[in-house]
Amino acid sequence: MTELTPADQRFVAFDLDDTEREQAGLNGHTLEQLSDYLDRGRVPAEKSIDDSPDCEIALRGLERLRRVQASLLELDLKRESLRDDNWIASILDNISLEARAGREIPLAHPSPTARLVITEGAVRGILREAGDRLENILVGRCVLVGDVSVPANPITIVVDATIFSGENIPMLAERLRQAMHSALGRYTELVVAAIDITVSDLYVAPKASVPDEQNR
Amino acid sequence: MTAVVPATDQLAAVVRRVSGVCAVYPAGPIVATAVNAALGAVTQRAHTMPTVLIEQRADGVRITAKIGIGATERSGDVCSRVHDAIAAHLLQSGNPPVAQIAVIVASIG
Repeated sequence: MTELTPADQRFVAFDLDDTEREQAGLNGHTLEQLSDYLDRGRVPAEKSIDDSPDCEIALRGLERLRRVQASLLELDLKRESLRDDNWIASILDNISLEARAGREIPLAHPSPTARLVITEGAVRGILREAGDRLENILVGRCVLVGDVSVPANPITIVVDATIFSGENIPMLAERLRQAMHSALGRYTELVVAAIDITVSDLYVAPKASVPDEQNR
Repeated sequence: MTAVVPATDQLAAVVRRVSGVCAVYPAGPIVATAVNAALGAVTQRAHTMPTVLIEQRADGVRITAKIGIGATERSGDVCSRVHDAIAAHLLQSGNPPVAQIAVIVASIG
């Protein structure tokens, strides 16, 4: 049975400082190396990165996160405020963890010699992407709970999300649920019993810095 | 008569031609792929892994293709097309006994 992290605790599947584990999941690379690769515009091409679907999923997650960070930075510059980036660090950790191929999820085919599957990592990637496509919400962690390898076995999707202040949380959560359900229907044959969404972070833009009265 | 199994490059080309496939990844075991990548880094040479894995076993040939698909595609449809294309190619190239044709969707978009 899969044990779930209580809602009030950060999800840590293993020691996030364990570089060897991170490298094993990303074809011998670390998330930092992938980030550098993006900085270089993926030039010169690195075959060991380009040939790895796990790296590709992580790179796409990094790109989306960077776009959000850039827009936040712009906002902060306008407000002359400083950000707390702890929540971004936790999303980065989950991008690395969830890019791993994981379990195999079967797809039906009439031939007895056919074995068609989609990896859990690919599914988590599209779930994260479905969420990140919505404005003012970022998917933190995403877990498929249940035996995904058995066709028609009902499973549950457990999602942690960060929502930006000022949004209607139940409405945004429902839009996220619908986007994920639609993506699962397109790419998998999973029977989804529930998509449980926990808004674990509320991003509030810091207040503008207070001018020093004495210097006036 | 001995059935001829097509080369991995031929099968990779067949898979790449299938509508909806946007990438073909090395389908070898993860450990072998990681070791290969590490070797490449140490020796500064490109170590190429076969993209489509072909294994000859007692019960027949086992083919494994690991693919990336376009975001607008349905996984099941693309997988079926890849499976059918491999099966048709095997049939044309000597019809070897087939134990399994595995198609793995490893990335989307």
